[in-house]
Amino acid sequence: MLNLQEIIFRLQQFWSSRNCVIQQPYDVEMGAGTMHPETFLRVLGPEPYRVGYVMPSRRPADGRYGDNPNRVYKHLQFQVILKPSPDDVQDQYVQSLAALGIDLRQHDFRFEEDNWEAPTLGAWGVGWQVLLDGLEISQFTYFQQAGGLDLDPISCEITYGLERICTFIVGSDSIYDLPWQAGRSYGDIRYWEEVEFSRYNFEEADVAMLRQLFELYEKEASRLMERGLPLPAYDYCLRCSHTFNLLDARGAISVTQRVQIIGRVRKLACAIARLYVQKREELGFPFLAPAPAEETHHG
Amino acid sequence: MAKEFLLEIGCEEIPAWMIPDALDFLADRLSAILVEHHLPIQRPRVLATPRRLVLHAPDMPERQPDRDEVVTGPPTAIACDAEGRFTKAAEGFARKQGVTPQALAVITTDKGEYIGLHRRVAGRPARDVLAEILPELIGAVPFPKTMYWRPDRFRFVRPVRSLLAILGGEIIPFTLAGVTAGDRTFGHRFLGAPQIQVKNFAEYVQRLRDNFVIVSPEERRAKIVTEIQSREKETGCQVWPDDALLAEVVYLNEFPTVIRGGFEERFLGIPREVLITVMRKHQKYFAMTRTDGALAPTFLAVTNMADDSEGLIRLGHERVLRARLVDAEFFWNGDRKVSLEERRRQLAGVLFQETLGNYLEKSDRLAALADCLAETHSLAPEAREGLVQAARLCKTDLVTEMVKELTELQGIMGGLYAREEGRPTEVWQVIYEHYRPEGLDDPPPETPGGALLALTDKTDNLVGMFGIGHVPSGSKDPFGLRRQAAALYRICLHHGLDFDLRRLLDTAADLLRDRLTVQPAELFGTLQEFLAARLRFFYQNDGFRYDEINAVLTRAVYRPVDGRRRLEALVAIRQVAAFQSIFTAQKRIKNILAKEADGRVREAPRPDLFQQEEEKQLFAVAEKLAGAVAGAIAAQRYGEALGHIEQFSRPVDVFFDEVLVMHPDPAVCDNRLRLLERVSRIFDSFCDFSQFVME
Repeated sequence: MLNLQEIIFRLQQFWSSRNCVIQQPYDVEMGAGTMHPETFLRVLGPEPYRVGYVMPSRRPADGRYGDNPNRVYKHLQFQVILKPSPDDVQDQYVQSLAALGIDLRQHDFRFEEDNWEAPTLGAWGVGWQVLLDGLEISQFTYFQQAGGLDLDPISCEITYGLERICTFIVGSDSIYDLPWQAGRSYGDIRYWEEVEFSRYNFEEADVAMLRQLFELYEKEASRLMERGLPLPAYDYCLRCSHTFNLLDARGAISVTQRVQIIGRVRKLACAIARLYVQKREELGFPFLAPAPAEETHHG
Repeated sequence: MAKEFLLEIGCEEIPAWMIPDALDFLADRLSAILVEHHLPIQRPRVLATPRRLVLHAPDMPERQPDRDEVVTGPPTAIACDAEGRFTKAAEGFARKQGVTPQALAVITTDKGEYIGLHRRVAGRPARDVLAEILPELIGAVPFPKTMYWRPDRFRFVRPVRSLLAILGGEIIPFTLAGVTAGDRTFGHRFLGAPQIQVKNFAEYVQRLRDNFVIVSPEERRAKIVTEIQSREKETGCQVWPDDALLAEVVYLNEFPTVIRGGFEERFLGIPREVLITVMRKHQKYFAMTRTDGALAPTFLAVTNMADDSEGLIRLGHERVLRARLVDAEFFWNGDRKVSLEERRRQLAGVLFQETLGNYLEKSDRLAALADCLAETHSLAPEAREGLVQAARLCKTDLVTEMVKELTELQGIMGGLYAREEGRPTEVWQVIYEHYRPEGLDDPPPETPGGALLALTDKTDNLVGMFGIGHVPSGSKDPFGLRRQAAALYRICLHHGLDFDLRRLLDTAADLLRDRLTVQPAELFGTLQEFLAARLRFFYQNDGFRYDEINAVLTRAVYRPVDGRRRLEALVAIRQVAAFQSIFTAQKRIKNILAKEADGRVREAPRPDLFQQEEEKQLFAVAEKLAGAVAGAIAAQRYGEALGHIEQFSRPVDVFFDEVLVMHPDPAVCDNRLRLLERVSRIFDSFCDFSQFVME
């Protein structure tokens, strides 16, 4: 039976052997693996790309002080981007589950409609949640737009909920009982973090400071764009987004403000997306040339 | 000779709710296109699973018939000169058609004479025609949401991955979205073969069945129903009926198998409304009840597998449901720690609509409207107090965790939490019901208080949205205002609530006056027309005819129950011969008065100016009956009112036979117009009889 870190190894191995770049988590807080520059920026423009990585997703409002066996403020996603989306992408995904030792002839598996939308990123796509015996283990999306730009080619995004998959494999009733590694449970590694961050997110986060930070981050992102630096600008855009999530968890955002702030972050994200494509174009879209390694590693 | 046609569009999983409409479109459109192409067929049979849309027509003509065709060229005036010889234009046309000018003939059409030619066209094989029209047909399916996935920007609901298209066993050659049509289908994703060759429909159905795909939705439905029934027998429990869920699971599976699972008894402490919603919404499970009607700790899941002999699938589903129930239990316990009054204050931070303000303001408006309705309907003091309380608190559940998670429980949770606070039935049940009816299948509120609160909510929504210019148009109705208006009428008609709806709407507009951006005259003009369309629908559903509805509609918009009473009275008399005279007379009078209209209301007729006996008689009848008609109408004794009106039939007939309205003496003429207007007003006080269409 695989533990959490072995699931990660298998997925990395599986997608690496299918010609994906295996990337690392990004070192800025974010609410979903989609916001990682390796997804949000790479899906823009005409260049093909294949990548897989683990991304811890922080959603301050989801914290439950470690009390809820199924909800946590931070969870782990394994994210795959296949650009352009291959014709047999569903089959490839199914094979990746087989690589985790899941025998799908013994289980109730389905793709059920679930379209994805990220208003702060000006992004949306069409797809499904993947249900395994009624448990949502993945999100499967054909991106249609990101940063307000129509995408061409279309990327397929597969997001594995790692805790969910581990829950399924192990048959555990609490996330904290999952085996992280042979001798250490998820709770051993993460429980205290959930307690402290729940306290921080709901009680201690300094609202006045966060409001100031939001303004500063936003200003810095705009300045960096003027300097023609979309990548650092995007870091600040991510910080805006996370700061907004913290304020939201603190209950410091009214409905009207909410719409407004989402609009401000989206404006940044859309401007960054345009600038990024422009930069890649100036570079001559280098990935349009076939990667030298493609032939030797394929299959 | 007829040939069998079979088309299967193999697709990645299509959202279940979109499939039935797509099938209808495909069947209708294919029949229509084929008629245009001289290949008439019966409406094709349609089948589908989440991964395939299927059309089957056993009666496809092998080829189009040979037929005569007329090709029209330039008008004769251009094609022939003065001597009748062909001009350059005619010769050019002949050359283009590949014939000599001798073959041209004169063709007479509605628009005049043209030069043209008759030609015999050989019919083409159906296979060639189908190869051309199928890609267009498939691309035209109007799914509510589509996507693209290929550089060619072809749009469909999800990627098309395979095409099977055969006519009489032969492949119909075409390519769509990079997929070439063939004679192969595919089985169940895990239990079947990935490629299956077939020659005809019978083989197609059978081979798929062998590969764990039941392609007929009816058959899948029957399998699910049978298995639900046998689970009922095993457990002695009854399934909680849910037709919408059944319709959905039919299209979520290729090979449905019903399994039974359970949960711990302790979760039965959570209200049944919550348990059922958790099971159906997130998990698509059917709930079950015990013989005493209480919920059982049992559920039925429809899986996409042949069996679950190891019980692994059941264990998985039980574990997922347990996690969801733990959440629901947490919300149920946590939410009750905050009082509804406290939550009411939090509503100040929840926006109803940007221009229309927050929910605290909205619930204050609802309380004012509720008080106004309570007065109109002379509610007893406790009921009145309860209704106003309910209005103040009815939106508080929007800030509970349960409703944030399960939005479809809005209202219901408010009611349950109010009950938990020990509030009386006049309050909690009224809150509980006030969103009803949510759709055509949802019943209106049962209690009078629930009905009245629902009316205030829908009134405030309609006046608010119309008052800031959010008027539904075409398929755009983001706030569901058509549903709200329909609900308004359903509640009134169901409960027989006969009151002046306009006064309620006016009060709502008055409460919103500082926020509305549309002037009241314009607001009510648009709203009245909108409401009339909804009301017409209900009257039609009750079996009233178009012209009868037209006769009462203007008045009925704000008095729907009264309108229905008038309609019921009208049905009884529309075949009565005497009323045919009234219908005709009212049409004539309205025509005459319309021509002479100068906007002013005429004065009463002067008896001294009458010249003929027939005028005097009609006047006498009007004088005699006006009061009686008015009295009967005021008392809503509509049969009696019509009985009085019927007495006009002979006098008006005689009047129109013998009296010339347009008398040369203007004073006499004007007096006759006055008389007609007087009579017309009496008729109109019941309804607009001129709207009746006579057989």
